[in-house]
Amino acid sequence: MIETALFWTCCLTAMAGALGAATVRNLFHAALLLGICLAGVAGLYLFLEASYLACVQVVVYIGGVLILVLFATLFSADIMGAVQRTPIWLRVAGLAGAALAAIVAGRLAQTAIAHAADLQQVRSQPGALPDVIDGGPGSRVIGDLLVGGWLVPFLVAGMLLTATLVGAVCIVRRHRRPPEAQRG
Amino acid sequence: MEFGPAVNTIATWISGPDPSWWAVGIGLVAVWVIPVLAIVFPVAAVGQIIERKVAAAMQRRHGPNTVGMDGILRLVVRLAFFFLPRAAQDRIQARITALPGVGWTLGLLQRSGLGQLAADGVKMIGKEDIVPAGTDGLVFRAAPYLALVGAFLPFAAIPFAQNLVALEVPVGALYVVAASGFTVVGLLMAGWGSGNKFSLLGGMRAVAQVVSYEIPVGLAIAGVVLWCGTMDLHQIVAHQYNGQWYSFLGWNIFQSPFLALLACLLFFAGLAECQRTPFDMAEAESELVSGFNTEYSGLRWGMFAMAEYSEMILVGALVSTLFLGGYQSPIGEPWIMSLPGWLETIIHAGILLVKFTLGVVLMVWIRWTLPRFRVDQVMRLCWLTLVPLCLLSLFGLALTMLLGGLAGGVHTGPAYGRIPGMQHINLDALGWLVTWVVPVGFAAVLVAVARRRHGQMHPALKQLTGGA
Repeated sequence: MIETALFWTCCLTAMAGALGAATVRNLFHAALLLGICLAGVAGLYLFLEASYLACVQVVVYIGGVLILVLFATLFSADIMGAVQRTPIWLRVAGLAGAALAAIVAGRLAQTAIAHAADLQQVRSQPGALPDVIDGGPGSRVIGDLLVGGWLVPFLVAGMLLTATLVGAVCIVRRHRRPPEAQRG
Repeated sequence: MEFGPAVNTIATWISGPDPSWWAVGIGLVAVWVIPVLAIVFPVAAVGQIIERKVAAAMQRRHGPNTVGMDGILRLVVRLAFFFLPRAAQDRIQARITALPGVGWTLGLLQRSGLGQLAADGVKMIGKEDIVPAGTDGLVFRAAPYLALVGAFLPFAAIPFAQNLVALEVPVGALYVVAASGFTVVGLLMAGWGSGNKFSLLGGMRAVAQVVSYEIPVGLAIAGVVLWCGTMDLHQIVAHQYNGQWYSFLGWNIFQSPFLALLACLLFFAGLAECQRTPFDMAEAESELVSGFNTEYSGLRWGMFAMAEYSEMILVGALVSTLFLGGYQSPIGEPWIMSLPGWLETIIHAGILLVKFTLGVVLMVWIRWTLPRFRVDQVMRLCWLTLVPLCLLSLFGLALTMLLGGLAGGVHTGPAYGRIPGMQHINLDALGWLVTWVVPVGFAAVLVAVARRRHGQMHPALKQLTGGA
């Protein structure tokens, strides 16, 4: 009973956070609401017995990405209480996106309801779920995969992120004239 | 994520096998909240007094020595004998004070300044909770709670004793880093929500610093994970047990010079994550009017202070757990393990308390010795000194493990408590000596050559330290 309640709390937290992040006018509040959404998703990972994923979610997304988003928000000009106006095309796009999301969600729900009985049957068989899902071996398997067969894609992804960072620095950097040119 | 055995024991004791959720909740309160309240919270509170006393000792003065315990004694007597006239109450108090030892103890407590603690607490609770106009209401109000959550959540995974661990997370080391990440969100919210330019600057500095210093922290922890082959904090503690009476030689810090270096790096990076001098540019009084907590007063300010001291304890406890054998005693374990369970728990928790309190005192010592770094110096230290040193140590450690494994293979160490023996590299005394002498000797030769070539300090090193 309590697990169901906690599960729905996590779901609703994530959804409410996402909805708030998309609709709130204040940019800083939107970023904080995004953090609430991410925390809700981390909670959902806990329900999947994937504590490693949950921890990484918090470290990378709340401790890293969210903080950098907030940081960028603070650096952007005129956001202290500024109200962002939504252009009309963005509203239309939002409506279209919502319709698409509704269709996907409906299809997902339909599939889930249709296969609920099968899932129950699979779950009830002993040893049906692989060991990977349990907290300990799961992180071990992920670690083995990351530094084993998937080492090169992992490193390429890291290089890509580094390149993105360097590129961002290059774009943002103010182009000063060298001192010689100023003198001349 | 599993609950610790003590949680399960308490839960099954309350509501039988397959305990209900509220019984598990009570177990969690008993195993997590009570240690935090009984060990971390008092040390965090006494931390203020430790800070002032150490500072006073370093400056050759007494520090807080006036607010004594006699006031509390008087209060107790007045409450207990409220039906008597005041003169009689005074006489009773005088009698109690005259009892052998009582006056001496009260005097000692007074000189120790512990009464100041109660006075400060009462003052803090009594102060008005001001929410200035122009603040971002909810963000401003919620920030201290988030900081406190980030400071207290990690303690759930720290093993205080054999059974005194609330959450047995298989990825405990990662969990501690993740949970403490909430603090920085709290600081940023405080900086923004205050609606004050200085606070905002403080918050941004705090975030830039914490995000940067999380990298050396993560790398240092990764070194221990590499060495022990597990992220479970309890297994890391068990891995450091060598089964001898000189069990301190099994601690990670003595295993390899690279691990010793990582311990120092973790300590300093942790110090920076606590925003303490010399890394306290986020709340620099002289430049930022104490930064993100300028606008806070009363209990909300107290929460920030409490979060800061809890984080200091967390850093101390983490360094102890990862490198200093956790709750293990330095002189062997059988004499503790043979005691009854409750006594074993108390002794182990006490040993961890001594270890992290030493860490806290060291932090206070550093604070009152070093001046504050400039912003660029802090960033330079992190990115150009700590991170390369961490990477170097990780590389050296991996090399040690590879060569050690090739030379001697691995063996299964002694079992510790309910944790079975874990894999160790075979290192006899000679191999151990080699792992120490070779890297340290190599570093010494490098330093000597660099000195001969560049004088007292290598120019690159001079630039790294900002000419300091």
